[in-house]
Amino acid sequence: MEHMQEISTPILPMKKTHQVDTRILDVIRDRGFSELSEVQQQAIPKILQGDHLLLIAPTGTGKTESAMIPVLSGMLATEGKGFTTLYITPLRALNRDILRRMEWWCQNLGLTSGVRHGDTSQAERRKQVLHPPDLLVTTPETVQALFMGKRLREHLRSVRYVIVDEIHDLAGTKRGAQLVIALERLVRYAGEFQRIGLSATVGNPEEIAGFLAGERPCSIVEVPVAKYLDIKVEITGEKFDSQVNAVRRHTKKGPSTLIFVNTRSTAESLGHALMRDGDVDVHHGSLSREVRIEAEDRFKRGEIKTLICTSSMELGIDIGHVEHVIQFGSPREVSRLVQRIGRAGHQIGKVSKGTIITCGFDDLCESLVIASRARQGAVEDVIPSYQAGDVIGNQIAAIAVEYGELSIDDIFSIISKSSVGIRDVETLEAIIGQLTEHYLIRRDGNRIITTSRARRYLSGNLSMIPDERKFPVYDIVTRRTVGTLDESFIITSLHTGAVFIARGQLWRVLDLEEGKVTVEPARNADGELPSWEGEQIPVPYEIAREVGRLRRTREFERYTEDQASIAFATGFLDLVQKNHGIIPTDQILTIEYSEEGVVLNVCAGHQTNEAIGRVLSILLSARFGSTIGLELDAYRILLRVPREISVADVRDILTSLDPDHIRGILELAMKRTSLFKWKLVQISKKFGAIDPDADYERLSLHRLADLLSHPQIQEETYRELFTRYMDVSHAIGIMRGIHAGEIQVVTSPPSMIGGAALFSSSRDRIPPPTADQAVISALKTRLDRQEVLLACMNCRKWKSKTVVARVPDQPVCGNCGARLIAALKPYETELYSIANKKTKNQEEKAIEQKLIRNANMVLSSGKKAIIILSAKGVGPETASRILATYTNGDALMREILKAERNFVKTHRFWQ
Amino acid sequence: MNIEFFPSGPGVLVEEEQRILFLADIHMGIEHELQKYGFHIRTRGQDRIRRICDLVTEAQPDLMVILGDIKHRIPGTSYQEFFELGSLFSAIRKIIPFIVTPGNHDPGIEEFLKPEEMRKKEGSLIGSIGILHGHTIPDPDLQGHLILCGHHHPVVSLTDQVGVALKSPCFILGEIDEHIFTQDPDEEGRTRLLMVPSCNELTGYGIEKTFRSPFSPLSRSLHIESAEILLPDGTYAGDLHSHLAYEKDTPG
Repeated sequence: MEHMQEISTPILPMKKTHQVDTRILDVIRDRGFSELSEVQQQAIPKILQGDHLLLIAPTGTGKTESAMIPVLSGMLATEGKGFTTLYITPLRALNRDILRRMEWWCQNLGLTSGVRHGDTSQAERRKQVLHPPDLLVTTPETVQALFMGKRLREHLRSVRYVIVDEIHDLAGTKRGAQLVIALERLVRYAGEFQRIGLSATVGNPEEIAGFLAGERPCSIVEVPVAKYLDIKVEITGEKFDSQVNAVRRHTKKGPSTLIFVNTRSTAESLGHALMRDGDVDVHHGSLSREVRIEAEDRFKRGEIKTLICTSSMELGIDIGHVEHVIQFGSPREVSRLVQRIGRAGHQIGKVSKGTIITCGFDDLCESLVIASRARQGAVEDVIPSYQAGDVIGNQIAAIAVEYGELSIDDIFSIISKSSVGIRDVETLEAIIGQLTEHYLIRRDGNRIITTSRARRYLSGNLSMIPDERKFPVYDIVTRRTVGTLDESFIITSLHTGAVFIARGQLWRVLDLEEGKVTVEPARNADGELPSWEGEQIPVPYEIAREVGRLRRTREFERYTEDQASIAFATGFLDLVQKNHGIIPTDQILTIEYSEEGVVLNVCAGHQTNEAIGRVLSILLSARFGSTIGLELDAYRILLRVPREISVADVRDILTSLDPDHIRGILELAMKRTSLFKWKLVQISKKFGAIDPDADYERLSLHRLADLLSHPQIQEETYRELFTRYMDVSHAIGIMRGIHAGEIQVVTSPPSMIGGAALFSSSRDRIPPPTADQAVISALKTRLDRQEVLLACMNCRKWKSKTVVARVPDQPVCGNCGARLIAALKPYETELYSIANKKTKNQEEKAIEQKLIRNANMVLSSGKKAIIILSAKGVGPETASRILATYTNGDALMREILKAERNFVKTHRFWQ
Repeated sequence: MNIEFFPSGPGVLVEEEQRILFLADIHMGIEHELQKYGFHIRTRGQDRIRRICDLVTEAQPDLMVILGDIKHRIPGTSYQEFFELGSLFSAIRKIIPFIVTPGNHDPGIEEFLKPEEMRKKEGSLIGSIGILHGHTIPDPDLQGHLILCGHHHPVVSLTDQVGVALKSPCFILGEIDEHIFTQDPDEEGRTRLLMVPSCNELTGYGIEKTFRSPFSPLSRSLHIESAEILLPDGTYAGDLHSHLAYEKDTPG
């Protein structure tokens, strides 16, 4: 145990009845340990007293022992069969080191320990049922499973202590909510046990303590992190090679370096580039457990000096001494940076050294702000998922299976006692109603009864982690699998003809069959799949605002001493201004054109931009009746709009938006978005409406969202979107700032800032609000694509085949320059020859007259006439009638639709 | 011949000597089947029955023709179907006479119908209109006529400048290759086809896929160049051939 030294003095004075058992002190002494760390000194007495406790400290400050020492002490004083202590930790933190430590402690004290999780062998599980260990190390999912076995439930009666490790990781998710409800279920068997939460630094300790203990009093012991951090920020060039060199400059120096990157692919490519240095390895979640453990061991033993890893390394896996932590690219959040850099040093009192290597202006500014906040200890809040309908539904089903049947009152009392449970019986009843719809439970008067489906559902839904299936993509041309598509795409966007980009290539969807998406290569442009990057961390509002302020004040020296960074940043801003761009800051919002559409540069973070971007898309799609594409990151919102929509239009909508309407608009219109549909399906799964392996080929996918219009599912979908994806309050704040003149809205020429490739973006498409508008929008596109034959009725010697979109406002004969041009359908070529014959009979003269009428319309009304004439079944008579209505825009389109509908009614096919 | 479209079904009414309302593909009992495939939702059978009855009230036909696939499960009849089909037919019989052209999902449907309500599955004529479900080669009697069929559940994705604006059930109207009736047709372009969209909200096949890989004799023999797409309310939505042709240059 490297992080404890010999104890030389007795433990702090405390109540006589609450002392650490001498056997433990003996063990500690025998191992040669001395002082207790600060967190241990503060925590141990409180736990010995019987307090519920939230323990907040950086990694490597002896948190685990702070809990284990007093708990083990207590365990020695208890007797009997069954589990005494549950040590709950996420699976990826469950590593051999924790287990070895637990085993070591227990063995030396005559206690038994065991571990149980998804991969535990049957033999081991059976052993635990017959001879329950005093200390059980397990995962949140497996805690759910413990309630499903009769004998296991018996063993739960003796639980006196529950330790929740990495609680900061759990608290902000539905997994955490599910766990704390499970703890209330546990109380019914074990009575009030003692709760201890171990956490990294969070911005809102009281709330997390409340999360853990509900209404019960809970003490907090917190060790500040800031004094332990030494963070530097560097800038490198855009090229991958210069980034690799920047990293290498550091790895060559130190004895042991941990490099955190944000994606697995970056881990692989960086690893590959550094591999020739020899003592480098890679660690990320896609690798097998053995490979990862191997890498951890080699690093620990000093065989490799550098380990490149993703967030898989964030949790407390012990890899020995880390001298230096490099964060490659902005860490996005202060808490992330703090946790990662906290891996360095790893000895009590030692300073953790870290460097952020950035590339690009946004990356640099963001990192400077995050580093500064980390030094101040300004870590983000972790917000639990309160009253999440699907979590509660899942637990009701679990309770039904656990008891067979139980009264609604009892269920309510269990759930309402937890910090995240619902508070009124009506909501509970509504959720119960929902579950009965999906045959998960039955209701009989005041009792809930399990069904045959429930157990199977539970086994497939022990976890609240949304599963995202991957569907292989099969190219029928090369007959090979060329990649995978996420389930989210399948649910929201799959249809024959959909075009998407994968591996830099364009593909067209043909079909979903036998679980595979068949595709063929496509040539047409404009293929973007919706995505909301579940793994990507959103940049918080405060950080984005501060980046905005930094852009305005340019006080880079306050954030760093690195001259290269300061020069780069100021140089970049100067260059933007030299090119007539206006710099968007916390007080200036710029709107500009880019190749892809209209860009709003607003420094407000992902979730606020998500809210603003969606409101604007919804309003634009309603006003202009067109589909609108939306992409965004923390600093910009890109709107893909049809040609008719200008920067001025977007600006107009933005400045006339009443902030108080934002929430209402979103609530009304979110349903049309892909994000909503996807979330709806995920939540439906948790309510038991859709099985994890449901066969999507069995129904028309685009109707799936309509199917799931149940109130509870919808409500939870809205709740999740409004709390996790969209930050409406800050969006309102920004809008109010605009109205109050605190934030200026300025139109800017295209700038480097607006044109930058979106930096970890979210993407979606918002269709027009009504079918009617959608039809009009599609009509415009159809007419644009219509082939038309332009034929000169003056010289009679010129014709040109083109599409309507390419026709100029006033077409001109390429031969004689006249404007008397007839617009014909391509199959009417023959009519032109007939009209130009030297001698014509009666019929042929009539044809000529028709063409001349046509050409006269084009002469007087220009392209508008051509558009009308390209509609189905519209000849000169109908066209002149439509022109005589003097309508334009959508009204004109409606006239055309009327004419086409009329054509249908009198179709020759009806005989 | 007078044509009226009813998007609430969806259904179409054809008036010659009498007013005949056409519907297709009700697929009662589909929810029970979907349970097997991982979807657990309550049946919407009653809603469907109500919708059909409201449609009859709105359209005021003299006769209703259901173009097949009224039930869903093959083989056999689930309890849900048993109950709901009884309910459906008794509701309809109260308000309108009807006939059925059995579809591939309809084995066993004869248990629920009177003999005079059933027509040949390969097709028959009513007035000058040919009717069949659409999973078989059509009876030669139908040659030269306007044929109405179901079976194909056509759905179209309409795109605008930015993306898919709307996905909607649709009709497909066109001409079929006379070779489907005989080796040696004396003329082409006499037999016309109107594919009717499905009444069931959960079913639908994208036409983009159906006409690239046709799965029935009728869809195989449709002349794509002259076929048209109609929305349930009769709006013209484009010709099929342009809709399928992706490799055109897109403007702008």
